Amino acid sequence: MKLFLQQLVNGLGVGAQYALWTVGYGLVYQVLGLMHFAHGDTLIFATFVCFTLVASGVPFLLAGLVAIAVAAVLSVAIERTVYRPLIRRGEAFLAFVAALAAAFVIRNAVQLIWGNRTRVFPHDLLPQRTFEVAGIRFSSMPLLNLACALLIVACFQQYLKRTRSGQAIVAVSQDREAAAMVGIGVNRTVALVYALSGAIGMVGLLLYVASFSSLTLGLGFSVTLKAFIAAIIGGIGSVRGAVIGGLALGVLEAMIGGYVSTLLQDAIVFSALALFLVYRPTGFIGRREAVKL
Amino acid sequence: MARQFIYHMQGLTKAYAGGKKVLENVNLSFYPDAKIGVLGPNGAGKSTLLKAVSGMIRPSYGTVRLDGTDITAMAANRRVRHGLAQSPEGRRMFPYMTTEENLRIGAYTRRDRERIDEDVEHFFSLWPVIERRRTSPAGLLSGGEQQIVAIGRAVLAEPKVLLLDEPSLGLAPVLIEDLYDGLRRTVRERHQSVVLVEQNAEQALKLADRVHVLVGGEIVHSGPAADITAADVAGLYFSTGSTETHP
Repeated sequence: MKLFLQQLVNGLGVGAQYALWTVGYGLVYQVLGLMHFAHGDTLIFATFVCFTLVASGVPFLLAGLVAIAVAAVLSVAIERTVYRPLIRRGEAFLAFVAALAAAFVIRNAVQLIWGNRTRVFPHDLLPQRTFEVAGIRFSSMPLLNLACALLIVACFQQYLKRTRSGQAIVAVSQDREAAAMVGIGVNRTVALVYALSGAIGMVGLLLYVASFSSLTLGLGFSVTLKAFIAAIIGGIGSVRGAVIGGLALGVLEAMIGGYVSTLLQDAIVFSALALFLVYRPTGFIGRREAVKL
Repeated sequence: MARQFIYHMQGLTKAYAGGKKVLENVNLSFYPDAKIGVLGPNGAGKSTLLKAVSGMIRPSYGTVRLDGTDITAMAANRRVRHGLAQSPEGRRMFPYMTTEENLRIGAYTRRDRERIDEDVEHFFSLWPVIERRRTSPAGLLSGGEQQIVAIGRAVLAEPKVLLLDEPSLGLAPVLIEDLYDGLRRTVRERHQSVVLVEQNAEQALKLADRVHVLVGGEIVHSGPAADITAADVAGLYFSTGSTETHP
């Protein structure tokens, strides 16, 4: 029981990060029907910028804001230069390949600038303490992660529901042509979606480095992969689905790590993914057509 | 002083790759508060014409001016800002947005929040049946209800020219009557210029004050709606060499 509760809390903490990576990833899919495979590497680039700033004495929160801006701008730049020209020509498959290519280009750029070494952030980026409930020790960090993620997602949902630009995003995701017919600038709205996906995903990565301190080049692909899996488990294209998928994936991994073996973690997670793709391709709460690449 | 055309389309031609012309030298001009009916059989180019008007496709030749501004090369979404809104063929609801959200997004180009609220309430007061479905996803409304919302959405943009593409398509006859009654009320109340594209000549003639009959991509007849009957219109479809049958 003790192990179960600890793993549950840890899993929710990690799952909260996954949820933030997934929200933007799923939104891009919903609006463009495109798997945004450069998502993770874009965020890693911005995380390295954050590392450099922190290492040169800039406070973490300020460096984090800069990283959020970098992630948003870089995401929009990829949309403009890589995806849009191909999507406009109706080359959805090429756009998918180009997304992978963009991911490699960014990763190599990171490698060129920052090298291959694992970078270690200071351990006190965010305040944390451990406390005991009923004889079980918990860290405050997973709870902080969870609170942050739920707050951001709740705000984001209200933004989509209540604001003019939020409703424009929703409209474009459902019918691009009809959106243009009511006066919505579709290209601008798509750019906004990329900016938001970068910004929200970046918050997830800031929580990651605050929790685990270490930053490696390979993390980018792992972010993309987790977002992909969480999106499918939860139901791609829905904000609520992204959160459920992210949290479910985090808890699943933590339970496997706690009760089975971390060595089998990926094998079991991918089996779960395969089961979902076969038996429930729209995820826990997905509503629309099955997933397409 | 001569009145200025609110809408002035000259020599519009649309040819697709391979040279097939779907529209040839179409002229369509009218003054404010005009109710224009564009009639024609299936495949006559009616929808293409309306798409050219709204900017969803670019014409091969010809110019289009809206209230004095040349909009020939303007993107569809910017035309809405200049005063051109449409209720598209197939209604094109945003299916997962609520009925009310679908209406409100019609006012996307407006900034006068309080008047938008009033207009939304006014719409619901005219259509109590739809008021009851206010918060349900628009995709769950019936075809007729969706059509009414699609028109309401276009009206909410407060356009100078309102474009209506086949509002009667796929609706039961009794619904068509209701729909057109409501539509007539709305456009008269607002002194709204309208371009109505229809196959249903009978209904269109009751709303329009001027009709253009389009057959094979060309306007074969233009004149006051009062001078022509639905039977005359049907006759025009056949006498001018259309190969399509018309119900």
